[in-house]
Amino acid sequence: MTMGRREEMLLKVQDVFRDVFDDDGLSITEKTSAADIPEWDSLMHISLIVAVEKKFNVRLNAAEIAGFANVGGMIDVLLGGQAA
Amino acid sequence: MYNPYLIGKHVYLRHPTEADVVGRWHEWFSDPAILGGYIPYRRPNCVEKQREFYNDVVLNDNTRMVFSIVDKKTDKHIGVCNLSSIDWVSRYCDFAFIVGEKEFRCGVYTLEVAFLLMELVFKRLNFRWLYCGHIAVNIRSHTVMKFLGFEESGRHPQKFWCNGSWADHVFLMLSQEQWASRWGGTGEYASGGCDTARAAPEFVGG
Repeated sequence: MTMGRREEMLLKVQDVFRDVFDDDGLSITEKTSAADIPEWDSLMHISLIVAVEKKFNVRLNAAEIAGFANVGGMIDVLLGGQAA
Repeated sequence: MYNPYLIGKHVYLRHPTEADVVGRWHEWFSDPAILGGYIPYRRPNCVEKQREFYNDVVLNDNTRMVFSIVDKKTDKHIGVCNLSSIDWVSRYCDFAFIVGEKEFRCGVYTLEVAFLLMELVFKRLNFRWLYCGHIAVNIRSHTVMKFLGFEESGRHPQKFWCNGSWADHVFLMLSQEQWASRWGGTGEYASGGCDTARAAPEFVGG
């Protein structure tokens, strides 16, 4: 079964999360937010943004960063950018 | 939303109210978890002192604009932010923001408040410089400000006694050009219905 674009992107974003939070066993879903990961504070939030920019070779604007409230929002932004 | 001034995706900023004064606002400035890396407050805060600040500063100090930070989803007062040391002639100010409610202290809301204030300062008020400062041990603040594009402009070495040692007071600044280059013109936030003319104080010119 081929993987949808969102599922593919989720796996890539999960790699970013595992790297930033230094947890190879970390598992995320589109609904994952700071409420689900205790270590997710403002420092880690910046680290996530910077890591996403580096991994996907994008430069995010303020409105796109506002979409990073949960993983689903991140995927929306990343797929929206790639679709553009 | 009640009386929104600046509206983001997750929060809006509005004028503080009496209800904020008697709410948790004063507690944030007594909470060591929040104050730990900030310019040290020597005395505990209370509703009475918060009301003093509200009357003296919020309502009457034209060199400051103080906003309550409110979560759009719940309409809960979650923090406070302000522009201070406003020089309306030379067109610069300081800014500071604290998200006090623990469940909202994840970076999402902090960054959005910063973006809203920067857009207010540089786009609506047409200021040239935005300044801020933090105690050197506050790595969180330093990381956020560097991410926003602020550059260090100086230090007062070993100015503050903090958690058993002396720490520098770090000064940072961001110009209108630097803001525009990195953040300006992309992802505009909705305004809260307060036009630029009403955003300035009654007397312009200090």
